[in-house]
Amino acid sequence: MKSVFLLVLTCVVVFLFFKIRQPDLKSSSFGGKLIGSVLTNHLVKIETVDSNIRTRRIETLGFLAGTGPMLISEESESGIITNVYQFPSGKLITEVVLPNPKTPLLGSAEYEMLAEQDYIKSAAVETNLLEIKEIFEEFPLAKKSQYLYSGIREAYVLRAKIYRLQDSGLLISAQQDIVEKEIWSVSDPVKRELKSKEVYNRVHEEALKIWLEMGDAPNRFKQRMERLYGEFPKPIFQRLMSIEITAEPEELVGP
Amino acid sequence: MNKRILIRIGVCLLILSALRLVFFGPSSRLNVIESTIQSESQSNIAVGLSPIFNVNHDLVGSVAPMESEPPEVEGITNTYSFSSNHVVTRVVIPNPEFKIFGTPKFESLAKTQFESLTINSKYIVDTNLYELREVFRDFPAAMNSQFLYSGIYQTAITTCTLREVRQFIFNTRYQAMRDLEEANTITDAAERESKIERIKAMSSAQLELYESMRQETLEDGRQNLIKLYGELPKPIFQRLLGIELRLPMGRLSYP
Repeated sequence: MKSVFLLVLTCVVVFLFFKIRQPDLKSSSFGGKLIGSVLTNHLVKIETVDSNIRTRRIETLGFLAGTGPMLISEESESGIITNVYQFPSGKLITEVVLPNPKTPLLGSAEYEMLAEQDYIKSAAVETNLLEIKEIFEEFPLAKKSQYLYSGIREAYVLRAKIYRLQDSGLLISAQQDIVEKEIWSVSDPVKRELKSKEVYNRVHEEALKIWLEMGDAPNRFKQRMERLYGEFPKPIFQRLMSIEITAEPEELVGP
Repeated sequence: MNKRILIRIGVCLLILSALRLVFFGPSSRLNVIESTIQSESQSNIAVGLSPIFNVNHDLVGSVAPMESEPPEVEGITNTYSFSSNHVVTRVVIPNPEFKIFGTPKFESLAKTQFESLTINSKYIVDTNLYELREVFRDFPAAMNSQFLYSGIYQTAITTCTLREVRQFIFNTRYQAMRDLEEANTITDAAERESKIERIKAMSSAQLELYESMRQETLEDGRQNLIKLYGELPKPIFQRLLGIELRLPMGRLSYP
C-alpha cells in the first residue's frame, strides 16, 4: 500500500513538473534557417504589476516557456521604458528608452491637446486616421471621456510602428544576398564557417527582436488604453488592428 | 523493497517521458511540419494571382496584348491604366473549388479544412482561426446562415492575399532603392538622371498596381461575404481583417 502511494505521489510530482515547464501547447516553435519565413504563434503573458511604480509585460516566442527568446518590458510612471531581450544563445540586451521631456504624459490635458492638433494636421496626409477616429467614436467610453484624441494618437502610433516593424522583418529576408556575400567574402573555409555562424546568429537575433517587439507593441497599446479609459473592448482593438498606417507619426512635443 | 520502488519510479518516468513526447512533441518535429505546411500552402493560394515577380521587373513588357483571350480560359481580366501611361492587364483565375462557393458542398469542405487545422490537428494550432470564428459568432446573419466556415475560409484568403500584396509593395520599394543606389554611381549626369527617372516611374506604376490589387482584394472579399450572408457590417469586416493568420488555410480538397 505504502509503495503504491509513493508511486502515485512520484507520478503526480513528475507530471506537474512537466506541466509547469509546458504551460501552453499553443505557444510557438522556431524553426528553419530561413529567418524571414520563421512562423510563430505568440504565447503572450501580460503581467501587470499593479503598483504606482511600473507596468510590466512579458513576451515570449519559445515553444517551452523560459527556453525561447523573451522580452521583459517595464515602464515607469515617468515614461521610462526598460526592455530586456533574452535570446536562446543566452545573450541579453537591455534597452532603456527615455521619453522626450517635452512630450507630455498620456492622460494629461496637454497630451490631449497636442494629440488633437496632430490629428488635424496628419489626417490630411494619412486618410486612414479618419477610420481610426470613426472606430473610437463608436467606443462610448472614449467618446465620453476627455481623451478621444489621445486614444486616436496612440492607435496611430501603434499601427505605424507595426508597419515599420513589418518592413524591418521583410528587409532581413530581402537582404539574404548581402548576407551571403558577406560570408563568401572570407576565402579561408574555416574562417568562413565561423563567419557564417556569426552572421547567422546576428541576423537571427535581429529577427527575433523584431518579432518580440511586434508581439509586445499591441499589448502595450492595450495597457495604455485600459489606463486611459478604464477598459478597452476586444472588438474595438480588433477593428483598429485592421487599419493600415504607412505614414511616420511626428513626435508630440509641447512648446 | 527500496529497489522495487526505484524500479517502479523509473518505469513511471519512462512512461511520462513517452507521453510527453507524444502529446507535446519536440519542437524540432514541429519545425519541420511548419515549414512543410508553409511551402505547401504558398503554392496553394486560393485565388490564383499570377506570380507578380514574373512581370514586375519589366512593366513595359507586361502591357496587355491586344488579342482577346481564348474562350476556354475562365477568370476575371482587369486592365489598369496608370498616371504614368503604363497599362497592366491582370488575369485572376479562381481555383476550381470556387465554382461551388456558397453551396453546402463548399461549406462542408471549408468546415473539414478548418477542423483539420484546429481540433483534428496533430500539430501546433493557429489560435487566430478560433478568433475568426468568434468574430462571426457576433454576426447573427453568419450564425443563422449555413455558411459559417465558408466565411472563415473566405476571410483567410483575403487576409493572406493582402499579406502577399504587402510583400510585393515592400519588394518594389526595396528594389527601387537598390536600383537608385546603382543609378547614382553612373558618372554621366544625363544618363544618370534619365535612369533615375525611369526607375521612379516604374516603381511608382508598380506601387499603384499593388494598391489597386489591395483595394480589389478587399472588395472581392467583402462581396463574397455579402453573397454568403446578405450583408456585412463594416465593424465585423474590420474585426475580421484585424486578425492575422500565421499561415494560409490551404486548398480545399476539391476534386
